[in-house]
Amino acid sequence: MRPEKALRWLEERGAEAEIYFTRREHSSVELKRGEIELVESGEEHGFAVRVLLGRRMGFAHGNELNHELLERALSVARVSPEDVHQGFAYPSSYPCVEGMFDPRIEGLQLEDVEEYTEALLAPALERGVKITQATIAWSTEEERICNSLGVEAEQRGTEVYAHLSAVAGEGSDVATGMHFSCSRQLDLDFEEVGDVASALARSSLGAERLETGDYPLVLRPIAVAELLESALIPAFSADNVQRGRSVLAGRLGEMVFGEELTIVDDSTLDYGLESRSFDGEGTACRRKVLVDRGVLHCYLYDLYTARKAGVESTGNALRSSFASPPKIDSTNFIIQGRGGLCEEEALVVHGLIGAHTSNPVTGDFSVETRNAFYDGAPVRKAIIAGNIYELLSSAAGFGKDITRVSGVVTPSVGFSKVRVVG
Amino acid sequence: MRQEAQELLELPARFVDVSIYRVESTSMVMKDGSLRETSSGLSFGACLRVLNRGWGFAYASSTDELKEQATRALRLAKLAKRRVELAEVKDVRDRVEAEAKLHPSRATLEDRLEYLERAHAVTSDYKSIKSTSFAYTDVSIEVTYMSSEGTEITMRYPRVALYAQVFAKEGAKLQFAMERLGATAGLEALRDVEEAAVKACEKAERLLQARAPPSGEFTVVLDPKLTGVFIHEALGHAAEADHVIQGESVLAGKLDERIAPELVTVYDDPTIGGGFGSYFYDAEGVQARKKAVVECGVLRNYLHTRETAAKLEQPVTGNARAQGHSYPPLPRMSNTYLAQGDASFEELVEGVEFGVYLLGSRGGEVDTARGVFQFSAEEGFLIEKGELTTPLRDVALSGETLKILRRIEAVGRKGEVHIGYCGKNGQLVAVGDGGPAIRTTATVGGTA
Repeated sequence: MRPEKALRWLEERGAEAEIYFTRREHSSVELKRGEIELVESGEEHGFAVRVLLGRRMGFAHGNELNHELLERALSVARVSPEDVHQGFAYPSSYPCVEGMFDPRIEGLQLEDVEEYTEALLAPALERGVKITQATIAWSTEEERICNSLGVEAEQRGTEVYAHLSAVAGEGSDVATGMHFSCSRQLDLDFEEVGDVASALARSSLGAERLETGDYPLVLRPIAVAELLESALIPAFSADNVQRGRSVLAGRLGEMVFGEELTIVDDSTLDYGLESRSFDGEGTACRRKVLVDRGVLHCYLYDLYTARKAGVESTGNALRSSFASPPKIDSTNFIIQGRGGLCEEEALVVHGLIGAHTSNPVTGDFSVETRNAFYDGAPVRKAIIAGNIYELLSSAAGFGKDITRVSGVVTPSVGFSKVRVVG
Repeated sequence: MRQEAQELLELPARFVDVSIYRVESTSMVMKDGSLRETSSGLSFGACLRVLNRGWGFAYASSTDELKEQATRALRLAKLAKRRVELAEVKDVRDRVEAEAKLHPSRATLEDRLEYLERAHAVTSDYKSIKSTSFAYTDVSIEVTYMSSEGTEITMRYPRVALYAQVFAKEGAKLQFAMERLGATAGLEALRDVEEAAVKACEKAERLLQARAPPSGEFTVVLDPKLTGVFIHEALGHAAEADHVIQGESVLAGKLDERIAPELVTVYDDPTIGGGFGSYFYDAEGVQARKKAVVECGVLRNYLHTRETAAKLEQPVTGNARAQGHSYPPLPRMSNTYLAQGDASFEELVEGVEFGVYLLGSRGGEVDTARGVFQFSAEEGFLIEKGELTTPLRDVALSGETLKILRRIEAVGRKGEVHIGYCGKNGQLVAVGDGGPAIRTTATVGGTA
């Protein structure tokens, strides 16, 4: 059944409706100990249907758009309560975002992949570290949405990803290094990914314990991203704000961080990994300044929370697949700051172990470090513990190494003081 | 579909297998007492593996697409250089179904809603609880596995779970707590839903009064949930044979060596009735069985797929698992737990001059190559002179696997297995983990 026909069928039964479709093609090569072991090629597609009977919302998903799927959505709506805030998006004009689709990725050839594989692995061989795992993956994704209010839109994108994990040393002195990179365009520096991982493993050998105490801290971009995703980003969700689950609730216009720090959620960032023209409800995406030089300006909304608050949706209703209803999330979460970075007598941390266990409500965290260095010398094992709000208020410097780590776009960030348990 | 799968098994390769999935799912989320998100799904998917030298893997949402992807995978697989061998298994023909009293496929949406309403109803007794979320999910999975060696198995599993998340507020203080319930069974597995909701509320209220933990190396007592997470993160992942082969496990080369005191025995058992990580046959059609990972302190088994078992010349263990049709199988845990000891809880804490008792889990992670792990407890208490004193919050623990295993001094006598999801290489699978409370030594990462 075509989506337009499905809409009509549902409308004839007294429902307002929305049909979402996504299709993804994905390929990857996985290398174990330096040789290709598994090559993967797949296709996945599916439909998500949302219906409104009065203000009762129903959601159903499946691979095919047929009467059975539409009936299921209606039966879900019938058990759902009336809720005046439920509703669909009205048509609007969508922004044009550059660099989302690269035909070279869609048409990637085997010979190219072999060449990239060699580039990814070469640095590890040169630096004499063992490659434990490496992956090159590429995908093409398209999304379409239409609804009873006249929204009709489609967008597509490509992505290429490379990852390498390496081990250096033997016996009691073993060090690991991991690095990854992702791009919308076929411009990934595969060799750099391999080189960073290998160099991290090698330079982390001979690590020693660090005395427990308070130290200045520098988080490299991957570590910043890992920590923010768990400990900070949930606090900007209007759903958490409205339900009293965010410490940022009721603080619009207040100074929440140091005045060196600005945070932007920009869904329209050209070439951005989380960029898009419209969100999972068909709302136009845009750039929002969330924190302007320390002052809280804006939360992230979907249609439901926006209607509840009497504001416009910020276009942050995202779908992780056709099988999940849209949920509020950040897109490209951009950290900007003023002030140079000082790495002397600081603990420099490349990655974290267990960042996802941070407290998403209070922002308290206590996580183990991966590839940590004090004054350039590798540190064996160190927990860093603190609170994300206090930490960000003490942000004291920003590097020039702005990196797109999945959705978080950030340089290295320096902080004046953090608790380190050695 | 079966006919088409048969044709695919004839592809020119040393070995071919096909898995066909049909998954019915329902989820309902109740936010602050009102039903907000209900979702009903029916998905189909199939995948295929071809082995010549290395693996080719293809998946699709329809049979026509699978044929196309399979051709592509076969062509791409020429890139694979590493010669893969598979451990011999005998071919199996079977149809199996996990038991359920109230099977999700027979339950109405109202039946499900009742559990959410029951959970929410008890929260009104708690004055400081300001916001609640209860999420119900169930799936009915039917998987048919077929291989070019003649195996053909159809397995059906229902799986249900309910997650409680409650927020307590007092002045400017805000805290949250979680509880979860679930099983490979029908809705009857959620019968104690009120008890779970009460536990979550009481925990959130306690956390309002709790302090930040101390930092440093201490004697720690872990409750059964954390013992499970410790056994899973620190030991279980390092026992997965792919890590061992790739040179990224501290347990490599230690088979039949002592790695823990005699009182430590750890099982991985996918045959526990109703266990969240239970199954009949693994994702390669190998029969599930209980095995000791550690027996009286000695490392006895790694967890294998057919490929890793052949590589290390060890018997298959039936631990190949995949999240779904779009993922190739990996060596994974099922229900992993520490066997019971004989210490009472009083015996675990008595004699501890200064230490930390940790309860509940917010998850963990491990670097298997270095054997360094981290996990976070939901709450804790100081132990002073053998007594539980100050309540603690955000207690994270880290340590080196082998060191902490060696330092286990006492094992409790009452074991529990809890439900969870384990992530590896981007794949989530349902697992059980647990054991009794234990006493050991680890680094506590606090700010105080």
